[in-house]
Amino acid sequence: MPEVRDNLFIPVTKQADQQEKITRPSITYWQDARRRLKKNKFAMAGFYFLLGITLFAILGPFLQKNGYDVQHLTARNEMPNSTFWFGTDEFGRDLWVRLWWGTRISLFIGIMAALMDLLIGVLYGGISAYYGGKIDDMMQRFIEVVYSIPYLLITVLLIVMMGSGIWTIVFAYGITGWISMARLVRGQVLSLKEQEYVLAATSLGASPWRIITKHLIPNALSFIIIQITFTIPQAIFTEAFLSFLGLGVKVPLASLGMLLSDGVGSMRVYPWRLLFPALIFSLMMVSFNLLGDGLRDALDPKFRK
Amino acid sequence: MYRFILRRFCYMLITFWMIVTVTFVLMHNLPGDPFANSEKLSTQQRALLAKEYGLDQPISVQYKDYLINIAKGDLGVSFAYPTRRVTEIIKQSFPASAELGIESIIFSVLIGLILGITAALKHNKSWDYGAMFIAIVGVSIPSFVLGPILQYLVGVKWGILPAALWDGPANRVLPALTLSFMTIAITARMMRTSMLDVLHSDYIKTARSKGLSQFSIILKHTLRNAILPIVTVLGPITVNVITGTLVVEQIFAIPGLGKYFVQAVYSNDYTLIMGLTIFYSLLLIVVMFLTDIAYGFIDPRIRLAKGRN
Amino acid sequence: MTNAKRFIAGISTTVLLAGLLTGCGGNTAQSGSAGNSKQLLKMTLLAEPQALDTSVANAAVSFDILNAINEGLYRLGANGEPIPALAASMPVITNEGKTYTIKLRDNIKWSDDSPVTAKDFEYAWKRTLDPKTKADYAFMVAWIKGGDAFMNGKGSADQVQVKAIDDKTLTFTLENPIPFMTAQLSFPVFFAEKQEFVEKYGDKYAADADKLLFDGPFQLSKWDHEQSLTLVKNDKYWDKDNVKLNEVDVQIASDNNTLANLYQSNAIDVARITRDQVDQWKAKPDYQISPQLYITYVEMNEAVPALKNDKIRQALALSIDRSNLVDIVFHDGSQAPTGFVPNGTMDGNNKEFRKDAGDVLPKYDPAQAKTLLAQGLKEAGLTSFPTLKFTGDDTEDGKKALEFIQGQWKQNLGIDVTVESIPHKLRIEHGQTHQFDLLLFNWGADYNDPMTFLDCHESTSSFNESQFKDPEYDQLIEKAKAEPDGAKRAQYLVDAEKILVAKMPVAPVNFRAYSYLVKPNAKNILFFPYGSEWDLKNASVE
Repeated sequence: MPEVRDNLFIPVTKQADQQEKITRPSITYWQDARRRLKKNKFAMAGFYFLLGITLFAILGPFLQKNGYDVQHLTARNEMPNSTFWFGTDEFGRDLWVRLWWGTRISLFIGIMAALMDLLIGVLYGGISAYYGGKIDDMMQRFIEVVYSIPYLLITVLLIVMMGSGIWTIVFAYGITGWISMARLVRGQVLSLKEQEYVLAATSLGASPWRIITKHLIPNALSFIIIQITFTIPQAIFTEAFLSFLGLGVKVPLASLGMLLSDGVGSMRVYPWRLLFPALIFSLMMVSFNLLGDGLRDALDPKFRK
Repeated sequence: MYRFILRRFCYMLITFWMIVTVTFVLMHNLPGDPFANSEKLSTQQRALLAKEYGLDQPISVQYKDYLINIAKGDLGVSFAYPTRRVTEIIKQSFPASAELGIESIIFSVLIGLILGITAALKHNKSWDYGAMFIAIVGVSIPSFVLGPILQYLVGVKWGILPAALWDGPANRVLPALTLSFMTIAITARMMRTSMLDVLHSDYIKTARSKGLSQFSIILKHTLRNAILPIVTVLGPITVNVITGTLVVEQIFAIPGLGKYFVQAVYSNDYTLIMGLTIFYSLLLIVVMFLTDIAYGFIDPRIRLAKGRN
Repeated sequence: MTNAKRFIAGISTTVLLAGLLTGCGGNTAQSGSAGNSKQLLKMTLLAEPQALDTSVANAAVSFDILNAINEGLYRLGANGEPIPALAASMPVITNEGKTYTIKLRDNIKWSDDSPVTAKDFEYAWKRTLDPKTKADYAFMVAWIKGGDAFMNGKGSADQVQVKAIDDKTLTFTLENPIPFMTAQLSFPVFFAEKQEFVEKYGDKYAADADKLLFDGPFQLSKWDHEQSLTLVKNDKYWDKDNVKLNEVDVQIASDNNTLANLYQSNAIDVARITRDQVDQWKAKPDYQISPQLYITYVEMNEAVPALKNDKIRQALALSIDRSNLVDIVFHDGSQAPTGFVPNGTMDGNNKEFRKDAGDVLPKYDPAQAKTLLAQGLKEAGLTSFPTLKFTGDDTEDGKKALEFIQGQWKQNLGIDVTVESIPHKLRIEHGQTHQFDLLLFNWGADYNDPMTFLDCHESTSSFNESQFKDPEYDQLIEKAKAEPDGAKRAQYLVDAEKILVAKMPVAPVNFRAYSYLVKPNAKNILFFPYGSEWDLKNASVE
């Protein structure tokens, strides 16, 4: 047996970028997810529907020359026809245009809610988990308090207090809407922190920045995305609910929720005034949920076979 | 365990105090004069009213008085219904809301369980998709659309059930169904996830490898364990039911608290709004507290984790 | 049934639900329209009555019930004329129309068998005026000499000129002559109250069915708050032979759709409907229109420089297509306004005011409006019309009216306004403090006289929200108030309205009406244009 001598070992020069080189490129996770998502017909259907609805929300109003608030007093409550594709309302306003404007507004509210989720929720949850200890404890108590408030009641009060409008709705939703996201992110970060590969990375001298960007965020990201696909429809739903209570956006603009609650009143006589908004609204909700479920199945390792 | 309960109870009190404070602040920033038809009142009458309701006091005194009164269980007299105390109104209207809520929770848990279990057992098969689709449709139609449609179809066109009002047992079906649609979806989803969790766990694999029949695996092992997390959705379900009643009670003309809340907001009935918000919050806090405790008893892991905090 | 029991009963019904879902579900409300020998009428109220205390009652829903369970000295007939009720005959009016002496009917009794006396009226009216009662409608009783001072905490009850001379004779003296006073005595605020009974219950008086006394055609036998009220025939009522109904079941429901659905499924016999439901029903015999003494107008705040100019205000008024507005926004029989006083308002001289005054409001004329706007802007030294805020109620009617008028101004005048819909209470506050540019205002009459629609434009009135100031107008209104001669008074008011037409401080947009569905077998339900919505004294079900 040959003698083991020190000079047999040649120290490797420190190479920061190779310290914990991941053999399997991290992109595979997403590729894998995409593959799984593509196999899920329902989720893909949801995705394409959403794409279509968004496209129409952006382009739809341009396909007709009427503005959303132009009243055609001689063409009131008209059935869908070649001039007015989705018919008109009692003011003779083009429902096609109003519907896509409404979709814009509802999508906008949904997207703002998602941003709020990202900004407040992710930050709050991240900070709480990252610092841990006393700070985490205090921040968690606060969340518990906010969580027990019947948020809709507070939302209603806030809107009455501040006057209705898109921004009030966004603000009111933002006050409580981020909570689930914050809880989720905190939970994820806490458990990820304890993972062996993070421990390994830390002991290999990876900087916190690298840990956060290479490990924590990519791994929590899937959960954040899933959460967002549920936040958006929830915000849109909340807006519709507020519209029913008469706390929607400012007239003559209309959100989907307002078109719906308007349509409900006239469904017996002018059914198309309910039919089209209800169709688009439900399609949007179903699509978001299908996509969300699909993403969950695709991204959550638990369901990997 | 007792320490855990005590701790949760303390949080509960703090939460409650904060809610009372937040509501109080919001309330005093609500625009408008709280007195009905106030434009017809003389200044003298208005001053007397303000004095009677303590509105002439500095805000800090009003706040202190309010806290003391709440501690005594007194929520004051409604502005809009001057002969009735808020606690009386709650006592009279809560039974209808509670009944509606409980019925809809029973509906949603039953239907949700069936859908969720079916979906999980036939994971990724058409049954799964079918069940989940039904569940998803539930969250895609707002109750204020579904309610009137049910009311018209079932109540007027087919004439099978009363269209609205709150007279007999038959009057309960449509509103409870409308209200449960949303929560069916929550329960079904939850159940599916938790069933899948359990089905993939080692002890089920062991059971299966022992040669137990599929039926007895589901009944004896899976269900029992999978149903536990349902307790956790009781909180969100309660929230959904409470907010749902605002709409459903309006549509079906049900004499419950939700209807009062909407009206109170529009008539600036300060004491009633505060009273109802506080009552709802208390309800919610207690439900959350109980689910936490229940979950702590059911699942020792939670208890231990919380205890370590 | 206690609440606990009700709660348990409620839960146990859940068990029945499954059975009902699968089974026949026979328990439907199919009665009602078919032959009804029980003389049961099923009504609805849009909201819970806030109080059934005649002094503090302040809304039509309360007045409806109070009219059924109590009665004033007079009751309104089908054409709004006063008919002696608890009074034996029409009042004896002396002192230039200011002093009224009224004899009470014999054998009028409270439901506790004690007689209704003139003292009960004196007590009730003074109680209403007492600031401690905080009665919204005290201002009406304050028309009596000394009433205003007492209501404002400056005088005392003894100085109020109302007196029970004996058990059967009541006399009172007014500050000014009021031509419609006899009819106004049918308003609940002028009903009687039994002192002993009111004081026995104190704060809780009239809070529940068992804390009320009745002297009207019906008794309130059950009051499930926010749900329903049950009225049964009052056997102690002096005119019980003319009361045909044995029972009235009043359900509380506010949603338009729900009401129409309940009506169609025969769960109720009468429903108030709006808009799209009207299209569905207007050809059927069930459909009825009840024009209201109720006006909607746009207030133009003269503190805003652009709105100080008469021509600009006229331009804004002329550019609103009123007949389309009433058809689109209200669509319930509402009429396009032809003046500042709604159709059906009596002139205090036994004639309809609109017939005296004629169609005074200029017709919708966008071209003329455009010219006026250009001229007005020039006069005011403005280069363009500023973007003003247009405020209104956040009710469905309110929002739709805002939308419509905004569209009209944009399309006819090319001007932009920012629409803001706010809660009713806040709208009132903004109006009373003049914190607005343009404001959509609703005004329902409390009494049938042009004065209620005209004296709010007096420069001193607290309802002069648009801050209109015209000495000639003020003078005419003051003269009319003091004038005992009906014909002269009516002429002053006609002249006053003409000034409004010329100056246009507000732009009338609607004379309101309500649309009702009434089962064809329900007869003789009276619908009123102001005060309470309906009267059931002579109603019957065939």
